[in-house]
Amino acid sequence: MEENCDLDQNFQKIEDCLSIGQYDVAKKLIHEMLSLLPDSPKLYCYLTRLFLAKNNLVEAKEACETALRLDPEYVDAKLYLGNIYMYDHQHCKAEEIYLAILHLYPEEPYLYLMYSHLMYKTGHLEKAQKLLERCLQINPEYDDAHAALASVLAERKNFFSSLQHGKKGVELSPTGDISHYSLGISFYSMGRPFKARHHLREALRLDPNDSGTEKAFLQADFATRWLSLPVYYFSWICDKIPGEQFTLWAIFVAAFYVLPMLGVHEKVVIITALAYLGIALYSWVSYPLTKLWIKLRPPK
Amino acid sequence: MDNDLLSPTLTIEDESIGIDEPWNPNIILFITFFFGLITGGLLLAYNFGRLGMGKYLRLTIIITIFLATIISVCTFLLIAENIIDVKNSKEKTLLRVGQRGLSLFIAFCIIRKQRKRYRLAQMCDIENGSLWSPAIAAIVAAIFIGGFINGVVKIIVIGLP
Repeated sequence: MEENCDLDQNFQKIEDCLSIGQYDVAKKLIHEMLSLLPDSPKLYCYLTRLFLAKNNLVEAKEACETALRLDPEYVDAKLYLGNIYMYDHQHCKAEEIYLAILHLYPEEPYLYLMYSHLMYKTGHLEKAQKLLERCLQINPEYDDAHAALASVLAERKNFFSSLQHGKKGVELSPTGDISHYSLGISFYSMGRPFKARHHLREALRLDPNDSGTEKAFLQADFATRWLSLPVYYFSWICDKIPGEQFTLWAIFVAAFYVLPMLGVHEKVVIITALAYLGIALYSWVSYPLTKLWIKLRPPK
Repeated sequence: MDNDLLSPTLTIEDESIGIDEPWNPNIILFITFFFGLITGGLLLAYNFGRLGMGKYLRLTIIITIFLATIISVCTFLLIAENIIDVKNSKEKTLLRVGQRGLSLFIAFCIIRKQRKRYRLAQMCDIENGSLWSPAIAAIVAAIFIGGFINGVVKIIVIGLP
């Protein structure tokens, strides 16, 4: 009885260490426990989680396969293997595993979340959205699902819903890096780069090792520099038009021919043409100039 | 619950196998805008190869050259039938703008096939390839191919000078 209590306490310790990022302590504890319980698939799952946190996919896969050798029906190990396949870009294998587990546990929100990540990664945005909506039906207070749905909706150009879910995510998890990241992405897609920068900076502060967040923060920081701000808004508007900036070019060219026919004064036509030329030139020049500015004054 | 939700969606096309330093299709769109359909078409064709969609490579080259020939035939017909006067700078500009618009439209249609795969490459952290030397090579190739097409079409439509 007492021995079981000790084991539970040790498992909880490992869990806590992994949650707060004390990986070295967790590793030491796992190995200590493995010397006592060498056939525990749970411990190999912790080891898998540890290696995944350190982005070591090869060793994570080895640990996960060991767990599955010890207990082929161990669901956690199967789920980790699915995640490993997804991170290793073996998407079909990952989907096979996720679906197999989902058929066993159709009411488990985390499974829907992971499967939606796979759909988002492979560009099946509609399915990703449906999966997340199902996930939120099961657990409406799931912060990571709100955050993921915000990103999916932003890419599907459903900006207002994206913002709503992003805000809900931050409300449910004010110290979650994923929530702040998603809200930042929502703001960026909505044409509010300063707010986006604020939340992406917060996400980066909470998880400084995430390269994706760093990239998004630098992009938002680039947009908020005064030199590139007009270009950001110009691109943002163009993004909403089918054919993007080329449609705008076609409109200006058409205007250049149509305006004189409508009796518009030649000066107005020339000013219109020069204005377009000015925008085009500015958008080309502002990029290297903003890069130079960032080199001189790096983002804080 | 939606029945499709728990049925498999992914196919071999959703794997990143075969993707090797792709070029950004949007940049090729700009190259098409400035250097014409043949340059853009050649780059897009080779980009299919880089995106692991090699089966479209030859087809894209054939379609590009075919459409470039059609555009050339239409241009010379418009000139031969005196619908457009090339001595009039406004009409000449209009002709050039029309050609550019058509080239862009065709490039847009081809790019639609590449976007999803390019997104996948980005999601899998696959680095983009450099476009400088391939673009220069495509521009040079396009000068020769375009020159040949225009020369032959001109002889057929307008006749020998």
